[in-house]
Amino acid sequence: MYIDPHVHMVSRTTDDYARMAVAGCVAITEPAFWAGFDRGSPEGFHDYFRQLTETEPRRAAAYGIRHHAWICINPKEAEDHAFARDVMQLIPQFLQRPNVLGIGEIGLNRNSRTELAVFEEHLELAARFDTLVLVHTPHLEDKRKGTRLILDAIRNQGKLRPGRVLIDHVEEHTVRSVLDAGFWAGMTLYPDTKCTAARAVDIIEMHGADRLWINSAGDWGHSDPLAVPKAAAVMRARGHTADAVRRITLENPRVFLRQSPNFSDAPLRPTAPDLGR
Amino acid sequence: MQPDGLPPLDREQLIQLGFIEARGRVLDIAAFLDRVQRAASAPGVPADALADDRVRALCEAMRLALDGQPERARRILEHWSDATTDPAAHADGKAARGVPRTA
Repeated sequence: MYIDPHVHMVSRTTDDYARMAVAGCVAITEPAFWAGFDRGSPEGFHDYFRQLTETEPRRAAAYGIRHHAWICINPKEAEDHAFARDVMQLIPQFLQRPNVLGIGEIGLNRNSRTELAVFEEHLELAARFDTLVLVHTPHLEDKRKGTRLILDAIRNQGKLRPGRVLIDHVEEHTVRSVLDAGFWAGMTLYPDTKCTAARAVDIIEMHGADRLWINSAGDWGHSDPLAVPKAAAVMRARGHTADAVRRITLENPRVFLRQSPNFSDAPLRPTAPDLGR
Repeated sequence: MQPDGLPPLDREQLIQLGFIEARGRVLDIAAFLDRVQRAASAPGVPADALADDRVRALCEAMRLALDGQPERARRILEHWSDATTDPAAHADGKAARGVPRTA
């Protein structure tokens, strides 16, 4: 059994749900993100949020997987501040939906002033509605600076408890600062960028397993929705015990996500596929 | 699990497990540099392959990998990181390029 706490199933096929179920996936969480193109209107985001809260839970349930969502405007589409604010006005109504865990994945992409301002406004929303927060950290050369800006912004706001915030996509140069500040940290398993399974296991060995999880962040780019069970296999090959594997792939995500009353990984009987056809 | 950095497997076991994959990756890097060096320069671009700041950053990272000091991966990632601290005035496109332009 495992949980994939960050995967973008709107970009994946139904066969991926089937494969994940066979591999032991019991629950997933899907943050709102950039789907590879800029949406042209707030209504486009409204439809996307409906997809995350209505359609994907049905697709997942067909394979006995519990689906949860995070709502936000992602930083890649946040450079137009007025547009971002229009989208953010839609968020409160979706926070009431039964599979929504909180605000995410907010954060920074190119570390711009507008991205930072929109990030701070999302933090205010999370504080106002007392939700969990899932934070995206930037890619490649922007990650270290962006992670620092993000940690400073959350600290300066001062309204969110670090134990209710997960900082995602950490690597060797950012994991320590995230954990030392009391936040949860996510490692994303990608073939070319972010972490490989071998490096993620190195990080676990060097920094311990407290407040740490792994995810596939499977999406429309180079990614693998089975990255979590494959990393579990790497952990076992590296001599880690079954308990250690279970902690990273199931227990840790459970501890963080159960802080939302909307999270469940209770057994779900697969239903007949209902794809709206 | 102890956060002491000590892997459950011993050194010989880890080498046995990872050597062939690491060997293949080293050859891929060498072949990439050969390919770049073999190729003709684009008009107006210096003929020296190392004039490209991305290729230069890759070679600098390999020097870090060979310096015998621990935490090579962390130090390489830091070397490849934007060293500025203030937010940018505007987002410079959507995609990062892998190393800072000044590297």
